[in-house]
Amino acid sequence: MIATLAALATMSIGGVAIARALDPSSRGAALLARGFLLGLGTASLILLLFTNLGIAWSLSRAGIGFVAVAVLAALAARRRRRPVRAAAAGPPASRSALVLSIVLWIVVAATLAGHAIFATLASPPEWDYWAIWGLKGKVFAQAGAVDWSWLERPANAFAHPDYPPLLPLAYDTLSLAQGGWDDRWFGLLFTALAATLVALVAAEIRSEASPVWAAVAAAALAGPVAALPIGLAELPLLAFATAGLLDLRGALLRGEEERMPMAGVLLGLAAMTKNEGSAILVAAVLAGVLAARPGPFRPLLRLWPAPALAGWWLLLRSAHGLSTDLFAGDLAGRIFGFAGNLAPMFGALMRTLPLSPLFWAAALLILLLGRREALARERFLLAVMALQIAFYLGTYTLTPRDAGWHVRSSWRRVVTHVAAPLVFVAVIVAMDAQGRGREREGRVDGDGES
Amino acid sequence: EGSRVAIVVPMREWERGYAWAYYRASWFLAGREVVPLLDEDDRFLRENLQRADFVASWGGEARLPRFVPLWRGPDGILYGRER
Repeated sequence: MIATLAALATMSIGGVAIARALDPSSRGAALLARGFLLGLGTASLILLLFTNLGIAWSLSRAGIGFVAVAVLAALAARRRRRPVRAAAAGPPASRSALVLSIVLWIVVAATLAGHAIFATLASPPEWDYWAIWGLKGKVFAQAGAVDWSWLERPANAFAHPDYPPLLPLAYDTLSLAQGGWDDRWFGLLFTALAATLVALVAAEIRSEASPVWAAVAAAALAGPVAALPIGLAELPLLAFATAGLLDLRGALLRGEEERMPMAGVLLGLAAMTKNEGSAILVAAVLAGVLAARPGPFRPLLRLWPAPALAGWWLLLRSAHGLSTDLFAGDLAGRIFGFAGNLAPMFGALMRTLPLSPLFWAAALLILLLGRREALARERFLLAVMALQIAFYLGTYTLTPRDAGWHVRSSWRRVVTHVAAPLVFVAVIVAMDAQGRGREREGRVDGDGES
Repeated sequence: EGSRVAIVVPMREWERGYAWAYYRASWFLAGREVVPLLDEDDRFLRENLQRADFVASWGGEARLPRFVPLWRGPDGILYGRER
């Protein structure tokens, strides 16, 4: 446990240096959260780079590589001017609101503490952990490299060799720190990711609103995030993607263009975590074009690290002939015959509630009741979520498997990929409604007095 | 390390248990080449048995020509090639 905690702390410290190089105006909880994500991504992808360069893995080599990146980033950060970010914090809260926010944060802390206990009771038990994510990590750890021959073997197709490798490589980083494979403590990585995600969303809300709304967002998100499966790629994907989307939103809606490089790297790390991360990247670019209208699209070119990172894996995947099962068989026939999958797909969707159904019902109700102006302002994140869901539904219609089975076995998990952006938008819309309500009350009071 | 191990279990249908056992064995035997003896249509993969260095049988004995038991445990037997 100590070795795992030390590895996670080292990733955070080195990652903060990288975060400051990418966005010198980032600070506080937002900086620390992004630092952890960047440190995790860097440490993991260094192992992929070592494999590409033919360097055998060892703790000392991985450590030297990671420290070298962090030092270079720190030097780069010192050279960059630190822009002052406008409206860095929302308005102050009343005393009662502060007490409420403290209570909510205690609930969040208790949820995360419970998550840490549960996540480390034993090794991750999920089927997809020991058949996909953990299995690849274990195989690579034993080989001391990404084991291409194992990935290429037809008998191992069940482990989805085409899936991006960041999470298995994160396990390998922790395994190097542990001096062996002790996956019981990998659960701590997931608690750290849950805390990071909650902190990211709360810090972003806090930059536009009072602390109590930040606490509301944290409390709304902590439960559903803690309920995500331990050992699978959903939580890392959600953390990388949400962080990148919030940076992109800040750049597009608030004119904080200095956040673009960070958004590009984080979305690239999302694409290196799951194939759905590439779908999120495409959705983000399309929604970014929509949100930037009638402005220029040129700032979106600063997202280039994202396709560069995604392309790294796609090139390797292609070189080793690791194809995605979605595109296997008669794809053209499935495209023309997609209508045949609609009925089983919608039938299964009706019977497959997502995890934490009350959370989804509450968030969607808030959006339905929200003011049109507030929703229009959040068109970027809403468009990303809509496109993402559309991509997933499109995948179900083109699946080479039974569409109903595909929905039943994945919908619960994949729909969580929009959970954090949904909480963010729901809280923004609720805040707007409360602000308008107060304005109306103020006008009525004012009329009465006159 | 690097040995090829074929998997025998009482379940003889891919979707009704064999796939689970094969995937699970891949986890426990990571570092070796684990090969199935059934395909997804429940056809016997004779060539995988012929290429195997070892056969791990869980939940009962297996009658395997040219393989001899090397180790027995409460739940299974490891067979190796007859020399």
